[in-house]
Amino acid sequence: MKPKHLRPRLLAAALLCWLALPNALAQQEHRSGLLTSVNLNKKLRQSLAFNFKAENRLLFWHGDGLGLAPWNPTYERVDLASTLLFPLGLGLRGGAGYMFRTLPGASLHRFSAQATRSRALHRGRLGHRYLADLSLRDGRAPSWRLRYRPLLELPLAGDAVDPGELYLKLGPEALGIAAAGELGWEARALLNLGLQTAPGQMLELGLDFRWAGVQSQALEEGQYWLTLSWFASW
Amino acid sequence: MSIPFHPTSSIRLLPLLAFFILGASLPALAQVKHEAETGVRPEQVPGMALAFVEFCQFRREVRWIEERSELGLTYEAKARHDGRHLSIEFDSLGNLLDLEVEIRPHEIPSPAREQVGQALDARFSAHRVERAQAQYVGPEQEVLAWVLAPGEVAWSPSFELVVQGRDAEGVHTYELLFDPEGRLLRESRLVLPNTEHLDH
Repeated sequence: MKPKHLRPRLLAAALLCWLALPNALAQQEHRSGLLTSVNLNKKLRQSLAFNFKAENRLLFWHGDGLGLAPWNPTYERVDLASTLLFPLGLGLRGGAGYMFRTLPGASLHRFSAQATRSRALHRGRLGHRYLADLSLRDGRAPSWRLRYRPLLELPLAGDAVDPGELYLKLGPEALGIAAAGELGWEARALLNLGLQTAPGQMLELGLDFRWAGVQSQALEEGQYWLTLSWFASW
Repeated sequence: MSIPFHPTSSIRLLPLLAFFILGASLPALAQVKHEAETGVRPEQVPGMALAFVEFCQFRREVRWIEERSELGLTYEAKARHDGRHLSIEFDSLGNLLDLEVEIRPHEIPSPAREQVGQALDARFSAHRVERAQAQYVGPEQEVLAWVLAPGEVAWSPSFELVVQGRDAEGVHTYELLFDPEGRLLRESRLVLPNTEHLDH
């Protein structure tokens, strides 16, 4: 059955990424580096699950304008996040989470609520994530974000991913940000090549593009990350 | 599992044996279904299956899937035909097993549709049909006739539904097979792949 009602949201998210492209090319600031993550998911009783995610960011280049920035590997941050997942309804899963981020000389606390759903397509799966979060950091105004991300898993062999098989994972993400009376936006695009190494275990290598802007200032930023992720579920 | 046999304890074992026999018969109606499938090239498919699908003369590309489940090894030809997704399933030797044509749940004809609805209402406290297929089982000539001229061959298919349903055990996804009159024939709980990599 074709999920026709999902198509407008997919198109809207793709359009947002497309609109962000010229901004990205004319950006004033850009960052590139390596983003590694470990994602552990433990099924609990009564359809509950607990997710723990550790993500590390290593910055390789950080520069202004379109010129090539010098190679300068720098530790940027580590995120430790935990989320309790629970059923919200048929096919819909809710989550409440907390994340602690360590930054050089600072830390950040983030509280989040999310809803996810996924369904099988004729080939692959399509997942949707709706997320709202609040970030608190010393010396800065609280920051609110609303996020929506459709994500397509496309098996490279067959109609579903089985152990030992490769898949592509791709999708855009749209973010709206509000902090200290300012509104901002961010558009992301993800393209990963994944391998299901064993039942419930996946290894992904990919690219994560992010473009951000603030409504009332000329500041715009582009981020280009090489990602390496490991997912384990039991 | 082996049960140690002792003549004097055989009577005491009877209830246990009856329990196991009953338990073994239950999967016929409610079982857990694991499927592992992978795409294969036409050269890897049994010749009889390939020949049958070539007879069908699908305009668009046919994808071949090798599927392993509790039922053994099967091959499926997946194609789009006459505006519908269809899949033709063969056994490991290439003998035709069935033809499945994707339909919308409301396309199940009355009164079978009402019967199916009542069966789902009785089985689950809440449910949602994710996919519906009409399943044709019959001689190759009849299946071929349906493929070549859909709508012109009068058939009474069975109906296979993939349903997400809530019961006392929680929310799970099931594959349910109904006969042409809408009576439930078989129920399997599907073991779905993890989606954590799509959620986080």
